[in-house]
Amino acid sequence: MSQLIWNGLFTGSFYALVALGYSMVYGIIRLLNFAHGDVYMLGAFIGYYCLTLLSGVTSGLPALLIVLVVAMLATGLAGVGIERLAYRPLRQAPRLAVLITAVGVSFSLEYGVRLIAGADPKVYPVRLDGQPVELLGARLTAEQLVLVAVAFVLMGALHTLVMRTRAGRAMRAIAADPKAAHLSGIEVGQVIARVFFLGSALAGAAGVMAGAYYGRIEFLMGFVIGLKAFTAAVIGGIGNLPGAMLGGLALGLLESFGTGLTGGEWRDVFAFGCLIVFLVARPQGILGEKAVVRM
Amino acid sequence: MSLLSVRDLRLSFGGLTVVNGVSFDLEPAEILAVIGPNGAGKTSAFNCVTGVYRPQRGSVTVDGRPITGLPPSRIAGLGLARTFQNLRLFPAMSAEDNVRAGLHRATRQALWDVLLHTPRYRRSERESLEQARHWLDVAGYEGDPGQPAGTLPYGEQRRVELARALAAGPRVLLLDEPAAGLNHAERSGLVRLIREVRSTGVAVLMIEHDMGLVLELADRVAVLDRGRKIADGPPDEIRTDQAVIDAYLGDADAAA
Amino acid sequence: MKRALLAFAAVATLPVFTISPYVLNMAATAGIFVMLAAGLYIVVGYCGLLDLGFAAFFAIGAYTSGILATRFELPLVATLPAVLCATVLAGIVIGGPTLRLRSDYLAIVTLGFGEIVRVTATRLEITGGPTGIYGIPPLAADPVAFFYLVLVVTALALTGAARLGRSKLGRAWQYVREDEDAAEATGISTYRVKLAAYVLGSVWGGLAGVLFASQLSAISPASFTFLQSALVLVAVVLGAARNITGVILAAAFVAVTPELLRAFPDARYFLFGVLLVVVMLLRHRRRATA
Repeated sequence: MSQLIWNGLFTGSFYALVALGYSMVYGIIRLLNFAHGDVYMLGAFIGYYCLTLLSGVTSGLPALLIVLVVAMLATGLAGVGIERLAYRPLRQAPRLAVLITAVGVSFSLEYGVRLIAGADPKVYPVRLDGQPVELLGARLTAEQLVLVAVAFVLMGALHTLVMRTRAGRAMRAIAADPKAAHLSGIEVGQVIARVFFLGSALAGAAGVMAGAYYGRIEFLMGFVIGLKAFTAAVIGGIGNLPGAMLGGLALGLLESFGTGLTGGEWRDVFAFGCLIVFLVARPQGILGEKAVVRM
Repeated sequence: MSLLSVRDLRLSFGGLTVVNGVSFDLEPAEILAVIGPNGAGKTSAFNCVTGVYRPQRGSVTVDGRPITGLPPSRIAGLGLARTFQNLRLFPAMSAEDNVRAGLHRATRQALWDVLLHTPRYRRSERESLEQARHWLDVAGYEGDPGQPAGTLPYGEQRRVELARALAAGPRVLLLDEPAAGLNHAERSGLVRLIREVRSTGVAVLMIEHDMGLVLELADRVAVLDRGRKIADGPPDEIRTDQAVIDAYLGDADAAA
Repeated sequence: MKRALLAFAAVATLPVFTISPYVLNMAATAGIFVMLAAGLYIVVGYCGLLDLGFAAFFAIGAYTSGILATRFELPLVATLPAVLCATVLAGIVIGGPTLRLRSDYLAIVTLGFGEIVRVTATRLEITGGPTGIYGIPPLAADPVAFFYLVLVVTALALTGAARLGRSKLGRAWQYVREDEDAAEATGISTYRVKLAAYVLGSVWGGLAGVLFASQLSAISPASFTFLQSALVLVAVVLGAARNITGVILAAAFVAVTPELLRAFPDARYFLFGVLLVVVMLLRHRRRATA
C-alpha cells in the first residue's frame, strides 16, 4: 500500500514535470506541442551521454545532479530552437497545419536520436540502488528520495517564477489575451521563447530522472509519456500550472493503484481510459471552472 | 398564445449579469425592434432565444412549447432563423452552397441514393440548387452564385446570409443589426425585403442601431438598458418616452 | 470525372508492363493506403475533425475479419457484414461521447483510443497477443488478381467518398468545418453530422483493414501503431488542398516513399519527419506571400 503510493509519486512527479511544459505552451499559444514528449526523450539521451563522459571523473548522485543541469540547459535550448524553426513561422497558420508540423518535429527527434544512438535500448550508466531504507512501510533509496525532492523543488521554482516575477507576469498576460499583451508593449515572441525554454528544460530534467529511475532508455520513450503528460494536464485543467502538477501526481497515483489492481500489462490502457473519462465527464479539469456558455 | 414568448430571462457570466428579467412577445407578421445602448444585453438576449447561451432563469416558448435548453439546431428546426452581427458565412464554400445550409432540414437524401447517384439523388440536388438560387434572388443577390462566399463584397455577403436564413422557411426571422455597414441603396433594398417577408406572415425580431430604420419598419420597439427592459411600445410612444431618452443621453447612437 | 477514369485505366494497365510480385505488392499496399486516406479524408478533410488514432479502425477491421476467418474457417468475404457492424459500433462508441468535445481534445482522445486498441490487441488471447493472427485466407490467391481487386475496391471507396462530399451530408460536414456555430444556428445538428463522418470514416478504414489482412495473411499489433495513424493523416493533410485528387497522390507518395528510402533504413523516418516540417513551412510561406 505504502509502496504503491511511493511508486505513484515517482512516476507522478515525472508526469507532472512534462505536463507543466505541455500546459504552459498550450496556455500561451494554444498549441498541442506534440513533440514535447520527445524533448523528454532527448533529455534522457543527453543525460546518458554526459554520464558516460563523466564516468571516470565522478559518479552516483553528484554526477547525476550535474548532468541534470546540463541536460536541462540543452533541452531548454532545443525547445527554443524548435519553436523558432518550426512553430514561429506558422503562428498565423491554421491549427491543423501547426499540429501536423509538430508531428513532423516529433518524428524528426525520435528518428534523429535513433540515427545517432541506434534502436536498441540503452542501460543508464547510473543506478539508484544505494542502501534501501524502510520509510512508512515502503523500501526506498536515499537517491530516489533526492530525485523526488529535486522534482518538487523544480516545480516550486517554476511556480514562483510564473507568479512572482515580471517575466512570469508577461507570460500570464499573453495567456490571458495575446493581442492586449502585445499592445501593452510585451515582447510576445521573446516570452513565448522563454516558455518553450522553461517547459523543455523541465521535460529534459524529467527525462534524466526517469532514465536513472527506470535504468533503461530508448528513442520512442517520449511517445507514451507525452500522451500521459497531456492526460495529466487535462486532469488538472489545461493551461493551469498548479493543475498540471496536481494532475501529474494524481495520474501517477491512479496508475500505481490501477496497476496494483489489474496488473502492469493494462497500465497504459488504464491511464488512457482515465483520460477519456475525464475529458468527457469534466473537460475543465479538477481545478478548472465550469463555464456557463455552451459554445 | 404568442408565436414567440420570452419570460423573465436572466443570464450572467460569472458575477456579471448581462440580461436581467427581460420579457417580450412576438406575434405572426409582427416586426419587433430591440434597441438599446451598447452593452445593454441585446445580442445576449438574442443568443438565449436561439439557444447559443442557456439562461439561468426564465423561459422561451414557441407556440407555448418551451425551448430553453434545446440545442440551437433544434430551435432553428422549430422555425427560428437568424443572421449574425458579424456575418458568419462558410467562407470557402460557394454562395449557393451557403444558402443550401438553410435548406438542410428540408432536403431528404438517403445514403444509398447518394452513393449510387440515383435519379432521386439527382432530382433532390437539382431542386435544392434551384431553391438556393431562388432565395439568393429574393435577397437581391447579384453576383455569381458559384463564387466562394469569403471573396464576395460585404453587401453581397449580407445578402447571402439573409438568403440562408430565409431558405430555412422560418416563422420568426431574427436579424442582428441587419443594416450595419450597408450603403443607402442596399439599405432601402433591405427595408423592402423585410416588408415583403413580413407580408408572408413571418415575424421579424431585429436588433438595430439605425433609429431611422427602426422607426420606419417596426410595429413595436423594446428598449433594453443594462440588461433590463425599460420600455416597450409603438415607435411613436418610444420616441417620447422619458426613460428611453435618459438611457440614450450622451449615447452617440441617439443622434442617428 | 473523365480524368478519374483515365487515371484508373492507366493504373489498371500496370500488370501489362510487369507481373513482378514485388511491384504489384507495392502497388496494392499503396492502394490500401489510398483507401485509408479516403476514409480519413471524410473525417479530417470534409469535416475538419482531427483524428490521430485512425489506425484503430484499420485494426478493428483487420482483426474482426482475421479472427472470424481463422476461428470459423470462413472465407474472408463472409466476414464483411461483421466488419461493418464492428466498425460502425466502434465509431459510435468512441465518437459518441467525444464528439461533443473541443476539437483539439478530440485529437488527443483519438490518440489515446488508438493506443488502447493496440495495447488491447497485444494483451488479449483472442487477438493472438503480440504475435497476432496468421493463416488468414486471401481474398485472391494470385498477385495480379489481388492487385485488380484492390484497384477496384479503392476506386469504389474514392468514388464513394467524393460522392458523399457532394451530397447534403457532405455539405453539412463542410459547414461544420467552416464554422460550426453558424452551422448549428442554421439548423444542422452538428453533433449528428460529425458522428456520421466519424462512423463512415471508420467503415472505410475497417474495409481497408480487411484488404490488409488478406494481403499479408498475418496481422499483428505492430502494424497498427501511432506511426501508421500519423502517416495516413500526413497523406490527407499534404494532399488536402480540400481536394480528393490531391489526397490520392499524396497517399501514394506517403505509402511508397518509405519503401523507396529502404536503402537508408535508419534515416527514412527521420528524413520523412524533416520533409513534413519543410513542406508545411513552405506551403504556409507561399500562402502568406500570395
